[in-house]
Amino acid sequence: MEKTTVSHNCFNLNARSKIIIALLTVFFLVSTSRGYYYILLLYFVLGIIIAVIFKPDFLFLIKRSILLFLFPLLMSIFIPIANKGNILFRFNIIFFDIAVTDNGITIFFTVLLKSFISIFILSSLVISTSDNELLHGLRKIHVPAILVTIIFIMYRYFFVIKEESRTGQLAIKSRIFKKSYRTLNKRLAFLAGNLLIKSFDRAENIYRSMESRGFDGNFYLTEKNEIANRLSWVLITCFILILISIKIIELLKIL
Amino acid sequence: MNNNIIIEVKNLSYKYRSNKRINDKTEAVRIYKDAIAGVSFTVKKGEKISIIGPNGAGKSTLLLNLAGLAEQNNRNGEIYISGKILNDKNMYDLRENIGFVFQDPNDQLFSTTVFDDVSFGLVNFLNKKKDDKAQDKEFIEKVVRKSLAEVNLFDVENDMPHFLSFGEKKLVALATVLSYNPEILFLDEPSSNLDPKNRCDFIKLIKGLEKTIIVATHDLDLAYEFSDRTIILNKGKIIFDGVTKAILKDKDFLEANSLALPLMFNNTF
Repeated sequence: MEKTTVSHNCFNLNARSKIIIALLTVFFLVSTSRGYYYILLLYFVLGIIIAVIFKPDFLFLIKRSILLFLFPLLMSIFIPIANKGNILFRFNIIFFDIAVTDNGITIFFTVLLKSFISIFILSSLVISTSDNELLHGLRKIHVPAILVTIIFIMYRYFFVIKEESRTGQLAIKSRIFKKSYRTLNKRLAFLAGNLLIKSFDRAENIYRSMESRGFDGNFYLTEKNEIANRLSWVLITCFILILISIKIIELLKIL
Repeated sequence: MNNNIIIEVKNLSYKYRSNKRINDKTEAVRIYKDAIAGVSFTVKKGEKISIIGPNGAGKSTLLLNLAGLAEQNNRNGEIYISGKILNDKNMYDLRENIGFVFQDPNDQLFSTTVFDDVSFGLVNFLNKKKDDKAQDKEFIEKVVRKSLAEVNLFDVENDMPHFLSFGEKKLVALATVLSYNPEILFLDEPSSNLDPKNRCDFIKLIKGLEKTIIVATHDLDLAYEFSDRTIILNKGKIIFDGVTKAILKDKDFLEANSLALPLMFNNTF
């Protein structure tokens, strides 16, 4: 059995409280202006506090955060050269004259820090909460039923499509008798197309199965009872106060 | 109509749209295939019927039509459920009385928990009736547990369907329709992909249900064990409608219609 959350009697937050805390923190974090590294450091400390409260498996959290961080890192790689400002240094690569600006570097580091802290906080939320709790938590914070249901269905069929894809890949590999990436890649492209067609078929069958059980276009989700204990509200209030304080520090340029 | 008759099918035909083809005059034409052609039969309350036939005989299409789940425009003929004609207007009302279990349980189990799937039909049914019980979580939980217990499953309410075994998925799929207690059950290939033990348990289970059950299958052993009456379809037409035990021993007739004796009688190995 793989453990993804640490048992701990001190805090016992429900999914709704976790979602509210995580989303609010990310919202305030994203609204930070560029170059305020001390403020971002405060958010990083806050992120660690959140992780301690949410109790995910830390090793897993760090691994996942680093892995996910590669995406924003690769996406923002051109920021230092794509912004105007004082030129710090210049490269001449054949026809390209590339200039790294101070402004570009500031935005680059701000984006990276913001994305890392956001990933860290959201990963703590996802790792420490079961998938169902998370989806029911979304309902509890009044995300529209249709949206939650779509997420439910996407989540449910992600596994089915993954399994079909795996089976399809095995079927292809079992009939390739010579190492040829060209043949393999060509067949995998066909498989992707095939999965798309299959998913249409499946969607039709699912709709039929829903229709046969009285589906009238409305989703009536049976919501699970969550005990909203006093501690959850106290923690949410504390976090809101901390976030507002950080925002005031940023606006008044105290640090 | 006889009060004892729960389903009546009169001259039912159903066409599928096929690929475009080029005809002799080099014109692109849309081809239609007859999946069912002029089928008529009646079903009495409490009857357990097997519809058998080779692949592509029209078994699943017939069940989809009976449940009002097939495309209406491609259909001809009449279907009466509990004495009422099945049409666009009353389709949703008549479905309250029908439970359809699909061949692939992954088509049926679309929620993230078994609980949500089993309660889906029940909650829709109660909401349609504007019944306050739709909001009564305790009542819904009780019915879900009862439905799962009927199929011998316990403590799986919070499991994700994907991580159940195939046999368990089949059972949960059956529980999803038992939850709203329909009078008629349509089961499409219920024994496919089940191991012998699960297959045997599943047959026992559906045999014990006090409902009108129609099973579409090409598992002749299932038909032999489960039903008293069998309808054999071939190329969309009924070629036999009668006592199961008699027809499933007729080797010549079965072979002439791309079928074979049930394994229990087949001693050719």
